[in-house]
Amino acid sequence: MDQETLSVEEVNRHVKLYLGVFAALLVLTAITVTVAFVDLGHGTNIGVALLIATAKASLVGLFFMHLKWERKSLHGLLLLTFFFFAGMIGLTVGGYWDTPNGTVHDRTPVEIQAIHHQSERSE
Amino acid sequence: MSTAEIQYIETPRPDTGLTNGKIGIWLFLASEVMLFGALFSAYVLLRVGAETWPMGRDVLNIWLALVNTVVLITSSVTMVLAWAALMKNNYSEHKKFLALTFLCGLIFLGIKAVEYGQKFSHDLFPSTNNFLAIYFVLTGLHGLHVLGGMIVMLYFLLFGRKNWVERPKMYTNRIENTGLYWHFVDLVWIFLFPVLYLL
Repeated sequence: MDQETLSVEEVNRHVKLYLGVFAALLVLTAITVTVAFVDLGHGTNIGVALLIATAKASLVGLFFMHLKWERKSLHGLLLLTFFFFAGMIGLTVGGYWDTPNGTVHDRTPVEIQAIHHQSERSE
Repeated sequence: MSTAEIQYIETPRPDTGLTNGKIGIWLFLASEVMLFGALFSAYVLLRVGAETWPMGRDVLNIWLALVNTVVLITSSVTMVLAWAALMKNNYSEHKKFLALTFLCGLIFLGIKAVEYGQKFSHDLFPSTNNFLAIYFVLTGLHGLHVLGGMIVMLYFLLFGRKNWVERPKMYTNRIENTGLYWHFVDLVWIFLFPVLYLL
């Protein structure tokens, strides 16, 4: 459906949809806050919160930003954006674990500092 | 029409099926995804690398942030209704919804200012610890985006009528593009709220 040429009836139908999405977003916000106070285990809490946030973001994107009715060329552009976004997050966060064995992450910062001091003294 | 006129701002370009303005704003939003994405990965790296990390809700005011979330969601609805009013040829209704959206932005920034004030009065600054550093950077950058959107809306509220009377289709597209940006700002907050305040 072309966004540029909607009839008044179609716009009115859209408006009803927007109000429905508004209600859904409010309900999902309430659920986010409620669930955050329930201890599901740290990882699960983070996962649930991000899952709900993604659902909310999808509602905003699909309906308020009209992606549901947009052209394929725009979807292609967004797919490319998502690819680069996921790549950036994956590489930077993944890089955290990509260190030689026994160097950084299996020692606490205090231990690392002690090693530094030791090497400074020996120099 | 002068030869220097930007093409396809009223009717879609045949090959892309989109107006140039819409392609432009979406490309800009794609770059914004990378900007905020980079800062989100900075947040993740800081957090997993930290020995201790505070629960957001122990340091920040979750209820003010919740009110702000509702304010921003509401502003997204009024923004899309402002565009829908133009599609129905109703300028006065459009102006009412655009003004409401602007007002929501103002309330959001007001509440944010109260939050920042509370932190500063308790000697909590970006230099205090990594959590507050990334909190102030992310919410500060987001706040600047809200301000930017409000400046565009104020421009249309003050000077938009002439454009609407002369070239209604062009004005409608400009409002739709403003809306796309505004919804993106809402979308970023949808992630910032749980990540910074709840987890």
